[in-house]
Amino acid sequence: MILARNLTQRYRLHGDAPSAGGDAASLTVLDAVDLEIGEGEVVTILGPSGSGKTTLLGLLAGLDEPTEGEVELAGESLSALDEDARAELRAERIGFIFQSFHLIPTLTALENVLVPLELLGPDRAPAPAEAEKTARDLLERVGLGDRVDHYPAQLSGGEQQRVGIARAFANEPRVLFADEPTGNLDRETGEEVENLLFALNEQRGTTLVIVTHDLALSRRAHRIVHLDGGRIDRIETVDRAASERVG
Amino acid sequence: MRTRFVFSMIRRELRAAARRFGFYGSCMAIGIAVVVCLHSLREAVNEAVDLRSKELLGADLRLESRDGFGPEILEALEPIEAAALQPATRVTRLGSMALAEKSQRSRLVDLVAIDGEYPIYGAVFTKPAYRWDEFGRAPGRIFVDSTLLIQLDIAVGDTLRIGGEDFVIAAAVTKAPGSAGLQSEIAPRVFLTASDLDRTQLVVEGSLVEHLRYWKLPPDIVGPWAEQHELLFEDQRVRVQTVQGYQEDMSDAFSNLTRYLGLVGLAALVLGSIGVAAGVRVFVREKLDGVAMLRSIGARPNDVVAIYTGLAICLGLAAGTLGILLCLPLVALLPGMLGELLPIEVSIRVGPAAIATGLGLSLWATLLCAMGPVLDLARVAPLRAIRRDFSESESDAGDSGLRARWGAAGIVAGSLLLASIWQAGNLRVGAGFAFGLTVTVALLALSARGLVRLLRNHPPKGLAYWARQGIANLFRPRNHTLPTTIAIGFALFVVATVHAVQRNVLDQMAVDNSPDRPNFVLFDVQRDQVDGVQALLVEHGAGLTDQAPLIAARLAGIQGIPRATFLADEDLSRELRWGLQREYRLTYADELRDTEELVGGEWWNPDDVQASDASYPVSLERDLANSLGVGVGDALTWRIQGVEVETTVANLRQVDWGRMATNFFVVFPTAALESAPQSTVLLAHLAAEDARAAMQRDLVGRFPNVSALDATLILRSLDTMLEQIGIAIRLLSLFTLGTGIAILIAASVAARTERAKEALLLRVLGASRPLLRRIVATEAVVLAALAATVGAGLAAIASWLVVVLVFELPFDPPLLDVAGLALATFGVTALFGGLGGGSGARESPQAALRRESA
Repeated sequence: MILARNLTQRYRLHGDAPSAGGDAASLTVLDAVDLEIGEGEVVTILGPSGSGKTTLLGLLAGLDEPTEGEVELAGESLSALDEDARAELRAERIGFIFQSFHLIPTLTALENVLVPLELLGPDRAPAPAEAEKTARDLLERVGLGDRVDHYPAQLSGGEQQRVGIARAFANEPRVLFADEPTGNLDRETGEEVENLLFALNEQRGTTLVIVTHDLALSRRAHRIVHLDGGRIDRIETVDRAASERVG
Repeated sequence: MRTRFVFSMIRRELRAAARRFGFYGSCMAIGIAVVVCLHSLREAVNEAVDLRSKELLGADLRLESRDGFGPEILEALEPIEAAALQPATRVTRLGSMALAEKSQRSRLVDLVAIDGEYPIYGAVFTKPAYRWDEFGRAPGRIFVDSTLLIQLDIAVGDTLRIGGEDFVIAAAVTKAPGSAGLQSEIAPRVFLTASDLDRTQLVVEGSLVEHLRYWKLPPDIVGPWAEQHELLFEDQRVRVQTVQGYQEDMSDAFSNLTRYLGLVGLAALVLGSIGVAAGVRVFVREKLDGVAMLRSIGARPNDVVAIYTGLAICLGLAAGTLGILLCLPLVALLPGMLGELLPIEVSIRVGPAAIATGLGLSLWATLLCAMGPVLDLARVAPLRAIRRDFSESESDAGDSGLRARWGAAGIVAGSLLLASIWQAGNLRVGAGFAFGLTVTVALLALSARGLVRLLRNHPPKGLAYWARQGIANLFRPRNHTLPTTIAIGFALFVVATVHAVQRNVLDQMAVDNSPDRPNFVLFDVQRDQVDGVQALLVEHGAGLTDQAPLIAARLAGIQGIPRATFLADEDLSRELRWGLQREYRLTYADELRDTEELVGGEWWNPDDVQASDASYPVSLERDLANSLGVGVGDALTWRIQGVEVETTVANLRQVDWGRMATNFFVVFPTAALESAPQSTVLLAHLAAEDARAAMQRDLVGRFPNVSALDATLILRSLDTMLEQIGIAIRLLSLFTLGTGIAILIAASVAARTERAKEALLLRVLGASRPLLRRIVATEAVVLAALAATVGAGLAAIASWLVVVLVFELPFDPPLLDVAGLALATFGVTALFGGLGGGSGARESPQAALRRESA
């Protein structure tokens, strides 16, 4: 589903654009990373701050262009696509969950979930009534069926992230990227959100890539990619049954 | 572009931003209201002039001359006479005194002696109605402007003595072709037949008489004929008025006034736009994270541009609609305010063209304001949604970003230039206005940047925490120093400049107000009547303040080059053409008057000038010398009563035209003109109105040919007119001030939103509410002081430039007024800015945290 080859990202120290080759004035945040993620697989990216986790996530999702190397997502080479085409690819096949939720404060919970459905191309976009039904169903499934008309400011952190999860699944993505999805939540709420995320993922068979600091969360994946200093330190295959027994 | 998504997002954003957009829109609406209103007024006047110009002119062609029509003109008139649909109407006009037998009051009147059908088009309305049909049927019956009946306290049927003859008033004229207005206040019209005028024997050699002829002609004859003989008319000083020319003259004269007012409106619009731009900037800043999220889940840059351009369009339409609504009461008020400044009676309505102009301007201005911020949003990288440390500089697309910014700045500057030229109706004035505005904004921006740099490099030491924090807010990231200084400083600049210019111009125009100023002018006093008239003045207790001989003359050549040679040059400057064509009233004197000052050359020694000299020294008023392009030592040839007289410019004078005195462009030595045929003008002062009336009555009886003008009437009328202009300008200034306050509110709302997060953090960390208020107040006070100081300083410079360079008047800075305005601006800014801190501090930290985390 995702294939990354020789993925390298450098930034000039004075804020200029990244350059190929690298020199003393540039900072390498990701260094020749190769990674393959299969369809339906759950992968977590684990590592200390500054190890390049978020940069890797951004490159895999086509949010940024690498200095070197390339990414194939759902059979399409991202480097061959321009920004508009990458945006379309994200709208059609990718979902996102953010650490700070990123709900639009001026939209209700229902409208926030509707946004990805409205971004779908004409061949996939449901009729308005159907889109609203889908969004309502999703909010129902994340336990917010009675809060659809509430604005983000009227919801707790956990509730906001549930809306974020409903939004992420709205366009039935083939790959879901989650950036520290429980990073802004307390342990208990975080677990609730995690369970919801994995339950929905299991039902839909979505490929899931999660960036996290949370060891417990990472152990619920099929594989853990350990990053350190911009390089893959090791890739660990998780015995999920054992993890669940332990958990 | 995903249409459904874009429209849904516009609708949702609008729902949330309606109140803020209301604030932003109101900044612009006032400027739009002024522009739309003046547009409607101009349209109404033009429409009325177009529809009624034939009636207003009273004919298809009118010729006007002070000297009658010579053989060359009569020859040129042959095709017109041949084509005329009826015989020409001849009208003779001259000023004369009229005495009412019944009330024993007298008054200067404008005699209109008619021979033929009058008017050819339109009608003369009378009271009692339909009496004009009786005009000319019986001798000795006159028709008078209705104002004269009031002024002389008489009625229809009463007798009026003019030039020693008695006339019965047949009816009052309420409306007749030709403008009445101010003129009817000073010298009301008296309509009589040409044969009745002959009986008065008022027209004698040297009388100031105007000869007019009116023709009714088939279409398409007048234009080419008038064009063909243009130079001849100029040379013979014959004024030709066609229907088309009349339309243009009236529209142009009025357009000049509305255009000046329109520029004030445009300044209000530009000011409002700055407010909108500052507000949109804050609005967009809040949207960066949301847009990054949208981009990360698949929104394209085009979608983002479409959403926020759509919002800008909604804002523009809202501001335009609000402006048009505001215009409605203004439209109802304007005709009353402008009074006699209006050349024609009009009913103003806000028509489709004015509405389209308002909405178009508003949309265009809003899109210009939003263009930069929307482009910034389009460049927001989706990566921003996940990289917390993502800095905005990384989203900058380098050279292309810089190009886009310069491009946007170019479009804004170009638009301002075009709008200014369109509104001013003149390339030079429009470009000057746009340049002035740009320089002002640039200077305000420079001052703000200078302050930021100064405070950053030399932060004040030893101050309390809240003062340091408040001052630091001025240069910390996301500060409001630049937009607020520009908006507030500019508001003050416009208001103070308009006020200072207005004060200076009106003060100069408010003619000599000293209590013993002459208030009575006697003219056409013949040489043998001077002693008698002086005795009459003494008899009535009047003080003679000034007297001067008058000799009519024309300029025949400059430096030996004949006048006709200059006039044949089509590219001749307007000033020189005016100087060559005008009729001069020369005088002679051997010393300077009180109102004059020598500014070049030397005054002549009277003993050195003899009547038999081949060339005489003359004194020229400085501005006239500039218009003619001559200086001391240059030769001028004059035609005085058919005789060419050679002169040399001996000196230049500066004349205080504002003083009520006999002021002249050209002064000859006494010996040169003493024996020439001449009349005398006398200025006198007589305080009591009754005494003036008695003196006029005696004057009419003893010297029927002498005209007396009660200057208090002119001054009163002039004051009324100036007052009307003043009210219009003050009203527009008020709108500009209103815009400034709207911007203040918008800026304070924006600042409140921006500072809310910081205030929240400080409160969580333990800052008390009074402390927060003091921090916000410090920032507001420093900003207000900067904006007020720079705005007032720039206003002083700009008003000085306008008064000295444009109006060519001495500048008297209204320091107290400008300081008062600056202080008021400072107070209002500090108050509104300070209030931002107050409201933020009222919310509990927990509630604010919840809101901010959303």
